[in-house]
Amino acid sequence: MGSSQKLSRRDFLRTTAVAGAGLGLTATTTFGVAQEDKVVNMVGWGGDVPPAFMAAVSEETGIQINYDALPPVWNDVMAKITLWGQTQFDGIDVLWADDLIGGLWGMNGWAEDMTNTNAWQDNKDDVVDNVHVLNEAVGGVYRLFYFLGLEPFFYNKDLVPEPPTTWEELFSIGEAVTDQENGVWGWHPRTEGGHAFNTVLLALNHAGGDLETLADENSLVAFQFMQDWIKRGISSPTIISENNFGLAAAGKVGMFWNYEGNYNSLLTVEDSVFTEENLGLARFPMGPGSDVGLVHGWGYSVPAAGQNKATALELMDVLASREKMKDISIRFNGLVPAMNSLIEDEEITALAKVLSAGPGWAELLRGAKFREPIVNSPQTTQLWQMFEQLGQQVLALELTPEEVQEWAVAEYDIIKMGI
Amino acid sequence: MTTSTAAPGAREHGRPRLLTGRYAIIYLFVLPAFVLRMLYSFIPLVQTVWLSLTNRSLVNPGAFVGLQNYQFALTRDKTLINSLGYTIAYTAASTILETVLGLGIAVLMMQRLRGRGFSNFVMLLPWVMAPLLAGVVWRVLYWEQSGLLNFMLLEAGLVDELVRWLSDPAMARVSVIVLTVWKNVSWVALIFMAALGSLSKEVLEAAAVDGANALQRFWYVTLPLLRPSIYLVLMLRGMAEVQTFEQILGLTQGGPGNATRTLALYSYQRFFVELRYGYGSAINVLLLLLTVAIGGVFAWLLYRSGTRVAR
Repeated sequence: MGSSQKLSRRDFLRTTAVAGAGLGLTATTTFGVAQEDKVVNMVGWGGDVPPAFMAAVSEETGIQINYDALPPVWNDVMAKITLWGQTQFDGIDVLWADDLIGGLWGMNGWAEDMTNTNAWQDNKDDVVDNVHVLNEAVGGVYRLFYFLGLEPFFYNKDLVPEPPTTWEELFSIGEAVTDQENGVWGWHPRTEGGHAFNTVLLALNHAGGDLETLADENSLVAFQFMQDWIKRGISSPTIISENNFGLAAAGKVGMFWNYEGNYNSLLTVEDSVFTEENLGLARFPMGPGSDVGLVHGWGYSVPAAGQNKATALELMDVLASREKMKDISIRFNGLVPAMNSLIEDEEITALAKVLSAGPGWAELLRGAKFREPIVNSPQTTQLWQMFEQLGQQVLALELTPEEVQEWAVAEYDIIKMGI
Repeated sequence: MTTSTAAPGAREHGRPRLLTGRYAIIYLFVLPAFVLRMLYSFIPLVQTVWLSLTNRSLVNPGAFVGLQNYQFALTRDKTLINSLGYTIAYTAASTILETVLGLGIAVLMMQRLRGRGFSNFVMLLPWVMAPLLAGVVWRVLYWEQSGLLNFMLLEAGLVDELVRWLSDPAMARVSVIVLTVWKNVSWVALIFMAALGSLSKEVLEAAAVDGANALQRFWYVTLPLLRPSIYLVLMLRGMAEVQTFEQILGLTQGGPGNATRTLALYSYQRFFVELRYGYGSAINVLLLLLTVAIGGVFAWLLYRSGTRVAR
């Protein structure tokens, strides 16, 4: 190495100083830009639609949306979301949350109450009543629903020309339809695979049971009613282990409940017996307490701990608008919206056929409740687990309604005591 | 140069030199394993016991509550009491069936039959299958309206109506045991085959010369000689079955209702699903005690049979 290539101490110091100044200037400039950039980290559904939708919103608003998908398995979703909430993770600014997740986050103070935001105030008059009832129950606006589904009462018109309007009619029609030798059943509520909690909540709501204690006479009536489905032979004893979708599509079920999204699926699945003419929708048969259905839905939540909360709330103003709610519904090929004006929108009803089926969506939705008390309690996960086991235990017929009630009351105690 | 033939730890001047000399290097080598063992086994165990004495949960940072969780669990928690009952029944039934069937299969497999190698291979397949996968596979078999098992039984005319494998609580309890036995019997047979192979032929030949028939030779000679292996199998299988988790999760998820909810599943529910860390830990500690009790009983029997043989 020649001497000319050697670096003197003075040259070294000078070079270092210049490099240091350059780096410092760059860092300052970058920081300055970062301060001005509006960034939101968002986590939601998987698939191609959400990132494309958010990219369009990003372009329109100038807010950079870093989108990531939730895990595909529900248990993983709950585990992750619970952990994020519990640890006050600040890396998420907008979270897509269903009524259960929203309940968990809202009731534990992990989600921002958006009651006083423009996003809610500007649109609340158009939002369906069911959401207002939920917000009242949870004491705030913890998510802005872009989708509001229902668990409606379906019936096969070829087997059941007219839907039952009372519990007794459910039994009489069910008995007339049931043909056990050929595997045809009158009534097959959805209970398998983690859906027993919906069925027991429906029965409790219809019986007028006290959901806060389950210790009343009406709750007992609900449990007895459910056991009678099997005892009086209108439901197969196997309902707790088998999905009703395939059986219904094969014409083996007279009446059933399933999610609203399966209306289209029942029409289009291969070898289905259903057409728009013979797939019926109705309100549930009236029980001693009510005939309301159950609603569920997904919306945008803003985590209280998010580091870009102000920008996230600014983004909410855009996402909660009617225009964007319609956009996302259409992009998802007819996602049922939570806005009254959109339920009647021609473009959406053309895609979501369930909206114009039966007595009409507004009539089906009337009085339908979110899954209380699960969604309006800080112990969302515990209560979900409890109601799921409750539904299974009732339908397993191993315990009498009184014994099931005794179990449920004791289980409620454990949850309430915070053990 | 002088060399020492004294074993490490030998007394010098009447006092063992445990921390100096040769011992120091031995301790040094053992230290990393010891530290890791402490980190990964002992500390979590202590932490679990500590958590079980608190009421910590997802929504509650927790406070020390003494034995309240245990008291509540054993006196008021109906699900736990049911789980405990089923866990004991399930463990006893599975372990006994696996041992009896495994021994029978091992005796058959030790005969010089054609195709023995192939049948050994087939027999081991359930054992190597992942437990969760085994649960899911059997769930498909057990499907009531459209499952293979009911289809075959109906076609063969063995039953008149669908068997409620998973929706009837009593039948579901049996279905879970069937799966467990199917899954583990080959491992038991393998252990017994090894034990049978190591038995002294002379003793059996002597019994034959004395006029004992095959059944008598098995009952009076083979079985007593297998006693240590039987205790070993009972201990290992008993400790494993009492903690069974994955295959039941795959098959019934503890249902219908709580019919097949073993303690391990119940502990998982309370701790990981409902995030009740204190109460879930208490159930875990109870499960640990049950496991230790089962292991302890058979370990003692094994030890006794070993010392009896040695005498």
